[in-house]
Amino acid sequence: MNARPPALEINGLQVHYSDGPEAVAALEIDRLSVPSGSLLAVTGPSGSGKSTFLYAIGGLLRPRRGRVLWDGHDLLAQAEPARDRWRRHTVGFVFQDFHLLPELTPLQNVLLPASFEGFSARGAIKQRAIALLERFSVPQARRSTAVLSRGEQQRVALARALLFDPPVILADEPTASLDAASGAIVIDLLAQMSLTDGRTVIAISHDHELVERFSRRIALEHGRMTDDTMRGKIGEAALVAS
Amino acid sequence: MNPFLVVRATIARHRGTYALFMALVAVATAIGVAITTQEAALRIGSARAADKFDLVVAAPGSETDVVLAAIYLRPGTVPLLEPAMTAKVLAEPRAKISAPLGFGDNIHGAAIVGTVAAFVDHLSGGLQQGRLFMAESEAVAGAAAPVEIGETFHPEHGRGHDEDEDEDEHHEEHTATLTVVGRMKPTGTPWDNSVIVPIEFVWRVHGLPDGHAEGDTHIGPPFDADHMSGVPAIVIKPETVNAAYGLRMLYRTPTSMAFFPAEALVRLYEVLGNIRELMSWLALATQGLVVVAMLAGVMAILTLHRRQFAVLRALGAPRLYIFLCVWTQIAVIAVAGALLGLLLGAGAAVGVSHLITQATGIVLPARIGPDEITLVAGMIAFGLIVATVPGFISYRRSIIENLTAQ
Repeated sequence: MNARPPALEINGLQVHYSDGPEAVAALEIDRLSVPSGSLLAVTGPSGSGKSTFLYAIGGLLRPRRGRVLWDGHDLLAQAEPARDRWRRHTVGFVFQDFHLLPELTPLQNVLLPASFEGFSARGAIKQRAIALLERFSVPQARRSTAVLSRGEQQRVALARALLFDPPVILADEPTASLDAASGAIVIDLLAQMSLTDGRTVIAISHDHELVERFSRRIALEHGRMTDDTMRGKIGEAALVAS
Repeated sequence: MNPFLVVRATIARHRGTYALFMALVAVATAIGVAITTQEAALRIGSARAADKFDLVVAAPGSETDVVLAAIYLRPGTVPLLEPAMTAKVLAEPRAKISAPLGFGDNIHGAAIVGTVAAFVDHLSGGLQQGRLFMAESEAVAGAAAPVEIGETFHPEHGRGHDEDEDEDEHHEEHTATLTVVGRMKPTGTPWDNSVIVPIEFVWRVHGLPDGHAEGDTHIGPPFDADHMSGVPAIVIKPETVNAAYGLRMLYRTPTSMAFFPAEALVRLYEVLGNIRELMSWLALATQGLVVVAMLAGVMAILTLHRRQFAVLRALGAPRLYIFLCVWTQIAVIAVAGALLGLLLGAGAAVGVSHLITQATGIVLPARIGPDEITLVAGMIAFGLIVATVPGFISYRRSIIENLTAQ
């Protein structure tokens, strides 16, 4: 990744999942600033608005009011095709259940975002996909992704998220479906993406290990931010220690 | 945009269900193709069989019965033309050929038809082996008739018997013998499975005057009007088109009818055409229902995949990409099913034609033509258009609703 990752600014954000005056806000954040290259963990109980937060900053939903600014640009002011393109090239999404296509090989799964733009699976983009799988130690033998372990599948999903070298990673419970050992590897990789690659990594998680490794934590409850803790260089120290 | 990775993965995941959908489309298409192909083959084959029968004169009655008996050699009761009228028609000066047709016997199930040598030559365009009959006891075999050149046999009374008939059943044999002296070229008509003999032989073995004065042993025209017998039909090849219409008028009398078999066939085709139209509509309705049923099934499958599509959108896939993923899946089923159906339908038509040819001797040329191509193209176009509905539904779906769907 070459360019400096964009900084996130949220102002007066309100998200409702239904219309009408009595609709309850699923998310309400007055102000939040996430500097470029941050390693931010978002915690909170189920239904606290964590996923809504992730979808809002990823441009997947339209809030009732407020603004989501990435490097000062209002994401929601952009037309949908522009937001799609922005997500493709600026954000890498990682999900709890990986959402890979089990009938495809790991390499084909990683190359999937390239098909959105009609890239042929040859040349530089294919070399990059292979390099990512090698970096994440995913076996590349021609076989179905379904036969990989869950930890390996999540690493394929991480490689897929990084195909276009995005400066921002948004992860939704990336370790929740993994055992402790596999989870630790994924946490390491996420930390590397920020501390080594300089990306902004924002992850929702209940995983204590992950939260401890991230330099900043915000907590949500009933859609509101109830805590915002900076941890200095803990993530970096932990990465070095590991 | 290239949705084929996703399409391939989805089809592979539900390959059993999608194979069933494809088979349904294929069967529905095959039914339509088989109906139109078979109907066209019947039309061409039956018309070709009647090609050499320009004008037929027979006793008043059903033209269809005469066509079936005289052209397609189907067993049936056809009244005999009166001897006087028979003599008059056989002596018709405006006819190049005026050939009596007499039936009533068979050999190994093959009809024995009495006529004149000129008609045999006209029918087959020359012989492939041997010569035309020159004596009352000689016969010419059709191209596929179950007798060999040089073989001598006693004809059995009756218009043939079914293959599954009891072999022990008694078949009355005439004492007279026939010797095969020639074999016709293939005509692609029921006449290929017949044995053709002089009309005098048929008259004589049935105890009727043989058309010639006593002591006169020649066969064929001219016939003696004082020693004539009746025949079920006379085929006339007129000298000119004008003569054909004139002869038809001339022999439409209280004791005879004259008609062009082609016209009788056209009337039959009209009935056949109505049935074909009805069956085609039924086939079309079946195809439509199958496509709609397939769509319902595909939509149920797509509901299972809505989270997957939402994830693709989260990864940056445009709406159009999702539309193409859905549309292409259905398009693949529709196109593959329709093409497979075209092959199945053509195969079925060829098979049925073969069975009909075996049973009747009429060669039915079952071929894929513009009608069948149009039918299949219509099926594909319908599938592609209808596939836009689930494509558009998926296109419109909210990412968040699908991401949070259970």
